[in-house]
Amino acid sequence: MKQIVGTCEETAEAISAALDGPLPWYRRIRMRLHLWACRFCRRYEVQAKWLHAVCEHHCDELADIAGDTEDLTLTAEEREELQARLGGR
Amino acid sequence: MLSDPETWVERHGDALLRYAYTHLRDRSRAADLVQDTFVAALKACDRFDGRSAERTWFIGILRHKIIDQYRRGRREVSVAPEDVAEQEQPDFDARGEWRTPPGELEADPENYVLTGELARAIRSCVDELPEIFRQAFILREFQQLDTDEVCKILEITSTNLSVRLHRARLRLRRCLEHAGMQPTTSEGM
Repeated sequence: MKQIVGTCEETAEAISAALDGPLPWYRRIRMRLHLWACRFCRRYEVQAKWLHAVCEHHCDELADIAGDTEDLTLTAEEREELQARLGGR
Repeated sequence: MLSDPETWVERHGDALLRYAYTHLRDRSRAADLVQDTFVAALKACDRFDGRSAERTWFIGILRHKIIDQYRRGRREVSVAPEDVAEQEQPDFDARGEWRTPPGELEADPENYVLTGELARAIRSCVDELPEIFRQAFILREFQQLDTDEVCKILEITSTNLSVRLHRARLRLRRCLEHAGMQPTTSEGM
């Protein structure tokens, strides 16, 4: 049976690959068959699609997120140098 | 129309620095790219058509500079995915089944609200990825480049990229679950 529907590991790989481009038909069918039977992989598909959608719709926000960069600012010297380059055009 | 270039540093400098740093994780290079971005913007200011916000335009220029950095820096990261130490407990057992099955999402993944806490958790988890996975994930998911472009930038095959993205996504899933992060729908707020 596993030869037909594949393992969870193979299905997780297919779920990830499907986020980046169309799968070959045989791989797509195998993934769908496995998902029909496996609730854990269905959950992973939901999670993977959610994360992919979040990144797609909020890529600039996520790239600009504070995190450990919250206190990251240009130094006074850097500002001066930049101002000099921009002001001396 | 763009604002006076003499105001750019105060208005946008720190934001651009943070944007560059979150991609490069190298403050010095990030600061250099901010400077390059402003200089490039100064030369191209007549090409700003006002259809986007000023900062968005700057970030667009910076984004291209970051991609160029990835192209130049790719040889510095020569570790193959299989050489990246596997976590203590792989996601799958010897039979290819989940060791710790994914939990159930409590919200509709197509109807969610990205809270600040959740966004920071995602960023934190991405930043914890091994460098070769992080680069691939950021180029694909944050920069929204298609896979062909990512492969060209990183000089890897599509199979290699697929493996890196797959392993990045598995790690992110586990990281977010471990952090107790769940998406929230607008109804739940």
